[in-house]
Amino acid sequence: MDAQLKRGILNICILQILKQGTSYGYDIIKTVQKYFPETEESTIYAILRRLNKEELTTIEYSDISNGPQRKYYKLSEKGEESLNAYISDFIEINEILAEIGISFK
Amino acid sequence: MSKLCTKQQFLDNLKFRLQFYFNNKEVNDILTDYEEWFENESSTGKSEEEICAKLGSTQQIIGKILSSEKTEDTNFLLSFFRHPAIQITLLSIGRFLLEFLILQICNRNAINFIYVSFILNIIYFFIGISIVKSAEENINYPFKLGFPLITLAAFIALALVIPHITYSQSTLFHLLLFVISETLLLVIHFFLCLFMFFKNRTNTFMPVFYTAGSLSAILFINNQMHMLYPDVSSNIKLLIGVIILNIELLALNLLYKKMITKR
Repeated sequence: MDAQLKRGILNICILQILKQGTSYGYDIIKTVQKYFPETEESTIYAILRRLNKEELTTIEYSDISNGPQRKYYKLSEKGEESLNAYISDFIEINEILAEIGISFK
Repeated sequence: MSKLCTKQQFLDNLKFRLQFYFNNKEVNDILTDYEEWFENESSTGKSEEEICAKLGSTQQIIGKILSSEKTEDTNFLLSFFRHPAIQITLLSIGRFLLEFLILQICNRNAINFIYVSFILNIIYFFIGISIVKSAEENINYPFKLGFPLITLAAFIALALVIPHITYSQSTLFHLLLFVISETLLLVIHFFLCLFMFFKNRTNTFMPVFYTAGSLSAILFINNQMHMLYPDVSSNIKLLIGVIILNIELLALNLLYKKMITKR
Protein backbone atom coordinates (compact mmCIF):
# COMPACT_ATOMS: atom_id res chain seq x y z
CA MET A 1 0.00 0.00 0.00
CA ASP A 2 1.17 3.50 -0.73
CA ALA A 3 2.90 4.91 2.36
CA GLN A 4 1.10 8.23 2.26
CA LEU A 5 -2.30 6.59 1.86
CA LYS A 6 -1.53 4.08 4.58
CA ARG A 7 -0.53 6.73 7.04
CA GLY A 8 -3.86 8.49 6.54
CA ILE A 9 -5.78 5.27 7.00
CA LEU A 10 -3.82 4.33 10.11
CA ASN A 11 -4.73 7.72 11.54
CA ILE A 12 -8.43 7.05 11.17
CA CYS A 13 -8.15 3.51 12.45
CA ILE A 14 -6.34 4.59 15.60
CA LEU A 15 -8.80 7.40 16.24
CA GLN A 16 -11.67 4.95 15.75
CA ILE A 17 -10.09 2.43 18.14
CA LEU A 18 -9.79 5.15 20.73
CA LYS A 19 -13.37 6.24 20.17
CA GLN A 20 -14.46 2.81 21.35
CA GLY A 21 -12.68 3.37 24.65
CA THR A 22 -9.40 4.34 26.28
CA SER A 23 -6.57 2.02 25.47
CA TYR A 24 -2.84 1.77 25.96
CA GLY A 25 -0.08 1.62 23.37
CA TYR A 26 0.48 -2.09 23.27
CA ASP A 27 -3.21 -2.93 22.85
CA ILE A 28 -3.66 -0.31 20.14
CA ILE A 29 -0.68 -1.68 18.22
CA LYS A 30 -1.90 -5.26 18.49
CA THR A 31 -5.33 -4.26 17.22
CA VAL A 32 -3.89 -2.33 14.28
CA GLN A 33 -1.49 -5.16 13.44
CA LYS A 34 -4.41 -7.57 13.31
CA TYR A 35 -5.67 -5.70 10.25
CA PHE A 36 -2.36 -4.39 8.92
CA PRO A 37 0.22 -7.06 9.85
CA GLU A 38 2.97 -5.29 7.93
CA THR A 39 2.82 -2.22 10.14
CA GLU A 40 5.82 -1.82 12.41
CA GLU A 41 5.24 -0.97 16.04
CA SER A 42 7.58 1.99 15.84
CA THR A 43 5.38 3.52 13.13
CA ILE A 44 2.33 3.32 15.35
CA TYR A 45 4.17 4.66 18.38
CA ALA A 46 5.25 7.61 16.25
CA ILE A 47 1.64 8.20 15.13
CA LEU A 48 0.39 7.99 18.71
CA ARG A 49 2.99 10.54 19.70
CA ARG A 50 1.96 12.92 16.95
CA LEU A 51 -1.76 12.53 17.66
CA ASN A 52 -1.04 13.48 21.23
CA LYS A 53 1.07 16.44 20.16
CA GLU A 54 -1.79 17.67 18.00
CA GLU A 55 -4.05 17.31 21.05
CA LEU A 56 -6.29 14.77 19.37
CA THR A 57 -5.72 12.48 22.33
CA THR A 58 -5.05 12.92 26.01
CA ILE A 59 -2.83 10.70 28.08
CA GLU A 60 -3.51 9.31 31.51
CA TYR A 61 -0.76 7.60 33.40
CA SER A 62 -1.35 4.69 35.66
CA ASP A 63 1.15 3.00 37.87
CA ILE A 64 1.36 -0.73 37.89
CA SER A 65 2.98 -2.18 40.97
CA ASN A 66 5.91 -3.53 38.99
CA GLY A 67 7.05 -2.51 35.55
CA PRO A 68 6.90 0.80 33.74
CA GLN A 69 4.13 3.37 33.92
CA ARG A 70 1.32 2.61 31.55
CA LYS A 71 0.11 5.33 29.21
CA TYR A 72 -3.59 5.28 28.50
CA TYR A 73 -4.69 7.18 25.42
CA LYS A 74 -8.10 8.82 25.38
CA LEU A 75 -9.78 10.51 22.45
CA SER A 76 -10.18 14.23 23.05
CA GLU A 77 -13.00 16.39 21.78
CA LYS A 78 -10.69 17.71 19.11
CA GLY A 79 -9.84 14.13 18.20
CA GLU A 80 -13.47 13.24 17.77
CA GLU A 81 -14.01 16.23 15.49
CA SER A 82 -10.97 15.19 13.49
CA LEU A 83 -12.26 11.64 13.17
CA ASN A 84 -15.65 12.89 11.97
CA ALA A 85 -13.93 15.12 9.43
CA TYR A 86 -11.89 12.16 8.16
CA ILE A 87 -15.00 10.00 7.87
CA SER A 88 -16.95 12.60 5.90
CA ASP A 89 -13.91 13.02 3.64
CA PHE A 90 -13.95 9.31 2.97
CA ILE A 91 -17.67 9.27 2.25
CA GLU A 92 -17.14 12.07 -0.23
CA ILE A 93 -14.23 10.25 -1.89
CA ASN A 94 -16.33 7.12 -2.04
CA GLU A 95 -19.14 8.98 -3.82
CA ILE A 96 -16.75 10.54 -6.29
CA LEU A 97 -15.14 7.18 -7.05
CA ALA A 98 -18.54 5.56 -7.50
CA GLU A 99 -19.58 8.31 -9.90
CA ILE A 100 -16.40 7.84 -11.93
CA GLY A 101 -17.11 4.15 -12.10
CA ILE A 102 -15.02 2.51 -9.41
CA SER A 103 -17.20 0.32 -7.33
CA PHE A 104 -16.14 -1.38 -4.11
CA LYS A 105 -18.72 -4.10 -4.41
CA MET B 1 21.67 -4.41 15.80
CA SER B 2 20.05 -7.74 15.13
CA LYS B 3 22.97 -9.72 16.53
CA LEU B 4 22.90 -10.07 20.27
CA CYS B 5 20.68 -7.50 21.83
CA THR B 6 19.06 -7.28 25.22
CA LYS B 7 16.26 -5.01 26.33
CA GLN B 8 18.67 -2.87 28.34
CA GLN B 9 21.09 -2.51 25.43
CA PHE B 10 18.28 -1.54 23.12
CA LEU B 11 16.88 1.05 25.51
CA ASP B 12 20.32 2.47 26.29
CA ASN B 13 21.10 2.79 22.62
CA LEU B 14 17.75 4.38 21.89
CA LYS B 15 18.19 6.82 24.75
CA PHE B 16 21.67 7.80 23.61
CA ARG B 17 20.40 8.59 20.12
CA LEU B 18 17.21 10.29 21.29
CA GLN B 19 19.17 12.72 23.42
CA PHE B 20 20.43 14.34 20.26
CA TYR B 21 16.96 15.43 19.24
CA PHE B 22 14.69 15.60 22.25
CA ASN B 23 14.65 17.08 25.69
CA ASN B 24 14.74 14.95 28.75
CA LYS B 25 10.99 14.76 29.26
CA GLU B 26 10.35 13.61 25.71
CA VAL B 27 13.19 11.11 25.79
CA ASN B 28 11.67 9.47 28.86
CA ASP B 29 8.25 9.57 27.27
CA ILE B 30 9.43 7.70 24.19
CA LEU B 31 11.43 5.26 26.28
CA THR B 32 8.30 4.46 28.30
CA ASP B 33 6.60 3.36 25.08
CA TYR B 34 9.35 0.93 24.21
CA GLU B 35 9.68 -0.34 27.76
CA GLU B 36 5.96 -1.07 27.61
CA TRP B 37 6.46 -2.90 24.35
CA PHE B 38 9.23 -5.10 25.76
CA GLU B 39 7.26 -5.77 28.90
CA ASN B 40 4.15 -6.90 27.04
CA GLU B 41 5.92 -8.81 24.30
CA SER B 42 8.08 -10.76 26.71
CA SER B 43 4.98 -11.76 28.68
CA THR B 44 3.80 -13.55 25.54
CA GLY B 45 6.93 -15.67 25.68
CA LYS B 46 9.18 -13.90 23.19
CA SER B 47 12.86 -13.54 24.00
CA GLU B 48 14.43 -10.10 24.27
CA GLU B 49 16.51 -10.82 21.18
CA GLU B 50 13.47 -11.64 19.09
CA ILE B 51 11.73 -8.47 20.21
CA CYS B 52 14.82 -6.40 19.40
CA ALA B 53 15.16 -7.93 15.97
CA LYS B 54 11.54 -7.20 15.17
CA LEU B 55 11.75 -3.60 16.35
CA GLY B 56 14.53 -2.86 13.89
CA SER B 57 17.33 -0.37 14.39
CA THR B 58 17.02 2.51 16.80
CA GLN B 59 18.11 4.80 14.00
CA GLN B 60 15.04 3.85 11.96
CA ILE B 61 12.78 4.37 14.93
CA ILE B 62 14.07 7.88 15.48
CA GLY B 63 13.80 8.58 11.76
CA LYS B 64 10.12 7.68 11.94
CA ILE B 65 9.46 9.89 14.93
CA LEU B 66 11.27 12.82 13.33
CA SER B 67 9.56 12.45 9.98
CA SER B 68 6.11 12.33 11.57
CA GLU B 69 6.84 15.52 13.50
CA LYS B 70 8.02 18.00 10.97
CA THR B 71 8.02 20.78 13.53
CA GLU B 72 11.01 19.26 15.27
CA ASP B 73 14.28 20.95 14.51
CA THR B 74 16.54 18.40 12.93
CA ASN B 75 19.51 20.66 12.31
CA PHE B 76 22.43 18.38 13.03
CA LEU B 77 24.70 21.04 14.47
CA LEU B 78 22.05 22.14 16.94
CA SER B 79 21.14 18.61 17.91
CA PHE B 80 24.84 17.90 18.32
CA PHE B 81 25.23 20.49 21.07
CA ARG B 82 22.02 19.43 22.75
CA HIS B 83 23.52 16.12 23.75
CA PRO B 84 24.74 16.05 27.35
CA ALA B 85 27.77 13.95 26.48
CA ILE B 86 28.91 16.65 24.06
CA GLN B 87 28.19 19.42 26.54
CA ILE B 88 30.31 17.79 29.21
CA THR B 89 33.17 17.13 26.81
CA LEU B 90 33.20 20.80 25.85
CA LEU B 91 33.07 21.72 29.51
CA SER B 92 36.11 19.55 30.19
CA ILE B 93 38.09 21.01 27.33
CA GLY B 94 37.15 24.49 28.48
CA ARG B 95 38.25 23.69 31.99
CA PHE B 96 41.59 22.36 30.86
CA LEU B 97 42.32 25.41 28.72
CA LEU B 98 41.25 27.80 31.45
CA GLU B 99 43.43 26.09 34.04
CA PHE B 100 46.35 26.14 31.69
CA LEU B 101 45.86 29.86 31.21
CA ILE B 102 45.59 30.46 34.95
CA LEU B 103 48.72 28.43 35.50
CA GLN B 104 50.56 30.74 33.15
CA ILE B 105 49.24 33.78 34.98
CA CYS B 106 50.05 32.35 38.40
CA ASN B 107 53.48 31.22 37.36
CA ARG B 108 55.30 33.66 39.60
CA ASN B 109 53.59 32.46 42.70
CA ALA B 110 52.25 29.10 41.70
CA ILE B 111 50.68 28.40 45.05
CA ASN B 112 47.80 30.65 44.03
CA PHE B 113 47.01 28.20 41.27
CA ILE B 114 45.98 25.59 43.77
CA TYR B 115 43.51 27.88 45.45
CA VAL B 116 42.12 29.19 42.20
CA SER B 117 41.58 25.66 40.92
CA PHE B 118 39.96 24.80 44.23
CA ILE B 119 37.25 27.36 43.52
CA LEU B 120 37.09 26.49 39.82
CA ASN B 121 36.60 22.87 40.75
CA ILE B 122 33.51 23.66 42.76
CA ILE B 123 32.05 25.85 40.02
CA TYR B 124 32.71 23.19 37.40
CA PHE B 125 31.26 20.57 39.66
CA PHE B 126 27.91 22.30 39.84
CA ILE B 127 27.81 23.02 36.11
CA GLY B 128 28.58 19.36 35.51
CA ILE B 129 25.93 18.24 37.96
CA SER B 130 23.32 20.44 36.34
CA ILE B 131 24.06 18.92 32.94
CA VAL B 132 23.94 15.43 34.36
CA LYS B 133 20.74 16.20 36.24
CA SER B 134 19.12 17.56 33.11
CA ALA B 135 19.95 14.26 31.48
CA GLU B 136 18.65 12.42 34.54
CA GLU B 137 21.20 9.74 34.25
CA ASN B 138 20.95 6.75 36.43
CA ILE B 139 24.62 6.15 36.74
CA ASN B 140 26.18 2.86 37.67
CA TYR B 141 29.47 3.87 39.13
CA PRO B 142 32.01 1.08 39.03
CA PHE B 143 34.76 0.56 41.66
CA LYS B 144 32.58 2.31 44.16
CA LEU B 145 35.14 2.38 46.94
CA GLY B 146 38.33 1.63 45.04
CA PHE B 147 38.97 5.08 43.76
CA PRO B 148 38.54 7.07 46.98
CA LEU B 149 40.50 4.44 48.91
CA ILE B 150 43.53 4.56 46.63
CA THR B 151 43.80 8.33 46.83
CA LEU B 152 43.19 8.31 50.54
CA ALA B 153 45.92 5.71 51.01
CA ALA B 154 48.33 7.82 48.98
CA PHE B 155 47.76 10.77 51.27
CA ILE B 156 47.92 8.85 54.50
CA ALA B 157 51.26 7.49 53.31
CA LEU B 158 52.32 11.03 52.51
CA ALA B 159 51.32 12.29 55.94
CA LEU B 160 53.18 9.45 57.67
CA VAL B 161 56.34 9.85 55.63
CA ILE B 162 56.71 13.61 55.74
CA PRO B 163 57.87 14.01 59.36
CA HIS B 164 60.66 11.54 58.75
CA ILE B 165 62.41 13.19 55.86
CA THR B 166 64.90 15.98 56.05
CA TYR B 167 64.15 19.32 54.57
CA SER B 168 66.58 18.98 51.69
CA GLN B 169 64.76 15.90 50.49
CA SER B 170 61.29 17.08 51.20
CA THR B 171 60.38 19.16 48.18
CA LEU B 172 61.31 16.62 45.60
CA PHE B 173 60.02 13.82 47.70
CA HIS B 174 56.51 15.07 48.27
CA LEU B 175 56.22 16.33 44.73
CA LEU B 176 57.19 12.88 43.54
CA LEU B 177 54.58 11.28 45.75
CA PHE B 178 52.05 13.74 44.52
CA VAL B 179 52.86 13.02 40.90
CA ILE B 180 52.44 9.31 41.56
CA SER B 181 49.07 9.74 43.21
CA GLU B 182 47.87 12.16 40.55
CA THR B 183 48.98 9.84 37.77
CA LEU B 184 47.13 7.06 39.51
CA LEU B 185 44.03 9.26 39.64
CA LEU B 186 44.37 10.09 35.99
CA VAL B 187 44.74 6.46 34.94
CA ILE B 188 41.78 5.38 37.05
CA HIS B 189 39.61 8.11 35.64
CA PHE B 190 40.69 7.35 32.14
CA PHE B 191 39.63 3.74 32.48
CA LEU B 192 36.46 4.81 34.20
CA CYS B 193 35.66 6.95 31.16
CA LEU B 194 36.26 4.10 28.76
CA PHE B 195 34.36 1.65 30.92
CA MET B 196 31.34 3.91 31.25
CA PHE B 197 31.34 4.84 27.62
CA PHE B 198 31.16 1.25 26.48
CA LYS B 199 28.78 0.15 29.17
CA ASN B 200 26.31 2.98 29.53
CA ARG B 201 27.16 5.16 26.57
CA THR B 202 26.02 8.41 28.08
CA ASN B 203 27.38 8.10 31.57
CA THR B 204 30.81 9.44 30.80
CA PHE B 205 30.27 12.96 32.11
CA MET B 206 31.90 13.18 35.48
CA PRO B 207 34.93 10.98 34.84
CA VAL B 208 35.83 13.06 31.79
CA PHE B 209 35.52 16.11 33.93
CA TYR B 210 37.72 14.67 36.66
CA THR B 211 40.29 13.50 34.17
CA ALA B 212 40.63 17.09 33.01
CA GLY B 213 41.05 18.07 36.66
CA SER B 214 43.75 15.51 37.29
CA LEU B 215 45.49 16.54 34.09
CA SER B 216 45.66 20.13 35.22
CA ALA B 217 47.07 19.03 38.57
CA ILE B 218 49.80 17.11 36.80
CA LEU B 219 50.44 20.13 34.66
CA PHE B 220 50.86 22.13 37.82
CA ILE B 221 53.29 19.67 39.35
CA ASN B 222 55.30 19.57 36.16
CA ASN B 223 55.48 23.32 36.40
CA GLN B 224 56.62 23.10 40.02
CA MET B 225 59.22 20.40 39.62
CA HIS B 226 62.02 22.67 38.54
CA MET B 227 61.64 25.31 41.23
CA LEU B 228 62.51 24.70 44.83
CA TYR B 229 60.91 26.85 47.43
CA PRO B 230 63.41 28.63 49.64
CA ASP B 231 61.87 27.86 53.00
CA VAL B 232 59.94 25.25 54.89
CA SER B 233 56.79 27.33 55.34
CA SER B 234 56.37 27.75 51.57
CA ASN B 235 56.71 24.04 51.16
CA ILE B 236 54.15 23.36 53.83
CA LYS B 237 51.78 25.86 52.24
CA LEU B 238 52.14 24.07 48.94
CA LEU B 239 51.60 20.68 50.50
CA ILE B 240 48.51 21.80 52.40
CA GLY B 241 47.05 23.31 49.25
CA VAL B 242 47.65 20.12 47.33
CA ILE B 243 46.05 18.03 50.06
CA ILE B 244 43.03 20.34 50.24
CA LEU B 245 42.64 20.12 46.49
CA ASN B 246 42.61 16.35 46.59
CA ILE B 247 40.28 16.12 49.53
CA GLU B 248 37.98 18.45 47.64
CA LEU B 249 38.14 16.21 44.57
CA LEU B 250 37.26 13.23 46.72
CA ALA B 251 34.44 15.02 48.49
CA LEU B 252 32.95 16.24 45.21
CA ASN B 253 33.30 12.76 43.81
CA LEU B 254 31.37 11.26 46.70
CA LEU B 255 28.76 14.01 46.58
CA TYR B 256 28.38 13.38 42.88
CA LYS B 257 27.74 9.71 43.36
CA LYS B 258 25.23 10.46 46.08
CA MET B 259 23.34 12.99 43.97
CA ILE B 260 23.29 10.73 40.95
CA THR B 261 22.37 7.42 42.50
CA LYS B 262 19.49 9.00 44.43
CA ARG B 263 17.01 9.31 41.60
